[in-house]
Amino acid sequence: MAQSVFGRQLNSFISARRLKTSSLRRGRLIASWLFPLPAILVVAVMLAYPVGYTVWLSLHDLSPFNLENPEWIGTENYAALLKDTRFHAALERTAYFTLGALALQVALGLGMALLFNHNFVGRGVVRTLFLLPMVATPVAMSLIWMLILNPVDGVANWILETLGLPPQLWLNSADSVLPTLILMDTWQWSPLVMLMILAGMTALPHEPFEAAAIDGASWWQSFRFLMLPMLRPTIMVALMFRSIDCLKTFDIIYGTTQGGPGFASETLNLYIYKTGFDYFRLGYAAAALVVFFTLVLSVSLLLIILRRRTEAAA
Amino acid sequence: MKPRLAVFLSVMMLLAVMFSSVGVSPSLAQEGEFDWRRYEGTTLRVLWPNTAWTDFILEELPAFEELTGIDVNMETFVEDQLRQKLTVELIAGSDDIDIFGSMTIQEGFKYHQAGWYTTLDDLINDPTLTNPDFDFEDFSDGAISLATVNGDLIGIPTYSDAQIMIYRPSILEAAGLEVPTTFEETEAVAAALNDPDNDFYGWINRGKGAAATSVFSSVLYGMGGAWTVDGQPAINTPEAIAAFDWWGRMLREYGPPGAVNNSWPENVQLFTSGKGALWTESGQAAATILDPEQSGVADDVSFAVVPGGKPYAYGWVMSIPPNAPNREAAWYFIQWATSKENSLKAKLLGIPAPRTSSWEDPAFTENDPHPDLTAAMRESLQLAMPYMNPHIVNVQPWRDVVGQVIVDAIEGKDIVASANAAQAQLEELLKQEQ
Repeated sequence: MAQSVFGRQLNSFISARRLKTSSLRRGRLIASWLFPLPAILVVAVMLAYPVGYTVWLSLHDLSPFNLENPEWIGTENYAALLKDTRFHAALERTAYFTLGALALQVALGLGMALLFNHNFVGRGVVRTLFLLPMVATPVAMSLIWMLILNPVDGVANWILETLGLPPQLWLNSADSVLPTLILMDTWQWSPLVMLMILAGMTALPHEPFEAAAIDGASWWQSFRFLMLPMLRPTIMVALMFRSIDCLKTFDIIYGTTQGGPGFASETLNLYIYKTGFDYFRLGYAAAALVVFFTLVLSVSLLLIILRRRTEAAA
Repeated sequence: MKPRLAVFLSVMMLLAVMFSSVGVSPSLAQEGEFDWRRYEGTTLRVLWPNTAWTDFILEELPAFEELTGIDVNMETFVEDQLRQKLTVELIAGSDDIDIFGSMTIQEGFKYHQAGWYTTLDDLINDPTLTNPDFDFEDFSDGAISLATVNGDLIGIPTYSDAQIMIYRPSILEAAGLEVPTTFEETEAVAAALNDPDNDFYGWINRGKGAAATSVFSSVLYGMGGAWTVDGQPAINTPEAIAAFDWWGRMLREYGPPGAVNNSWPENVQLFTSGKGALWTESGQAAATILDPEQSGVADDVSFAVVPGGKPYAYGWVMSIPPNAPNREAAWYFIQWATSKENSLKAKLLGIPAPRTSSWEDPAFTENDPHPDLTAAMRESLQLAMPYMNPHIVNVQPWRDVVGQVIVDAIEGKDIVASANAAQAQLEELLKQEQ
């Protein structure tokens, strides 16, 4: 695509200069290869090579002890992954975290977008305040959340107790650590979903809503049968962005629990990090990474296909 | 160095020695004074962890540079960062590290297998390279065991620490309780003093998975268990189950809420703000707890041997990698850093010394501000066992797996099921190792 755009631009540039047809054709040919070359090189160096190398690594047994001559073991790493209970548990946790965070963030983002789609006094200020979590550094934010959620002297439990509610263990319990992390992620990223949906809302045409209002449709009806279907492509894009991010969440988990208590918040990314950089089982970590990469890729492909369908339907 | 140049220099040196002994005063040859300036002009690169001992030696460093004319670049890191950096550099066959630090009880077997250590016997036994005052025999057996892997002396210990019990004497006294020595007594004391409504807990300790396995080892061994039996994991034996059960119950019933995420930073915060009665930690913790600037309980704290009497021992050891560019100069630095003089100076700052002489020196015994700490440390070092971790290569995954059982025990889950699952994973881990 980039090729043809660049080619066309050059074409018009050259024809404006009224050059000969043959040199024009040659110029177009060279340009169609030359101009995208930097982009192709960047993609090759930054993407194709690392991915290819990871796949190559995943077929070897590589550790600090045989770095000079890694042993080719075919698909043994993948076979071991099939039997690895810690890997399976990490996979489940990743799915749980992603689904939980997505559901909350889209619901909240939509709600907030509806709110800010109305005009009210101080809307700009409130909207800016709502966007603040998004710009916080995840690691710094993790440390602050740990202070807030500390079960002995944190503010969160103090508030609960003042309201007459029982104190919670938050991050300090295997049962509540993932829901708590989902809440933290939701706090930070719902504003992004809100921003995207709000942009979608402002772009919607007014006529259908006016027509619906004349026909006596209730607020709920015009939301459910007009706005929501028209917003679906936007929501799909938000879902895609957030699902990829949620699947590979690392910072807030590492910043708070490092995958703990025990393995209770060890998602795929955490497990792969440990396998690679703590245990130095580089080949095995690469195999897990290839599986993870495939997973992220298929989820995004699935969402792209779904989005095309909704667009086609609309 | 070219052979001809080497011959020329040797002859010149010989001549210099001859002239000096013929000439003014025969100091070198007769008194056998050690030549500290032999490697003048060398620069050493040292990779080392951040510990209390590190702060001490960095302060003393200019004295070494003046004595020897050797420059020392000491790069210090937080423990885990050091491990990662070292592993990456040593894997890459880096040839500019002269000295590195390791905790043999954590990574000794791995580094030994990878060939990253060299034995130091040749240097110690060479009178031209080792100062006669060095006195290797002065190091305690326990300290030397921390520098020995598979029978090889792979370094010199800088300090040797043991786990101790830390307690609040005024609170025990007020309740009319004795300092506990057995597991039953400890539980009884913790139960009697526990007062969660007022944010005061009978028992402070680590519950954070892998970070808890070292302190837990004293209970495992104290109850008659072991990490491994005949080279196989022994995590689901009745003794081990009893140990997990005790550890879990103590933290669940008499510990702070959410202890499953507590490690050193959380515990030091709790204890120094006066929220705990009993705690077991490495002896080095005393330096922080006794410092009035960092601790609110500095004037009301005392020390004892851990319940069950099986504390762990550990320490950081200075080693020279095989392709160190300045092996001899590196040895100069190691023997200076771990000399009697420096060991005593560090001891006076509260750092547990690896040398017997430092503990017995009148400079220390007559000025000891905390005889209770000294007594507890000395007895603990005598009792200490080198089983903070199992003697295997892949210590880190082992600790993570055992840490999960500890978390399950604290949360009151099915310990037997959890220990059996861990046992299976550890068997698989050891199978990979062989």
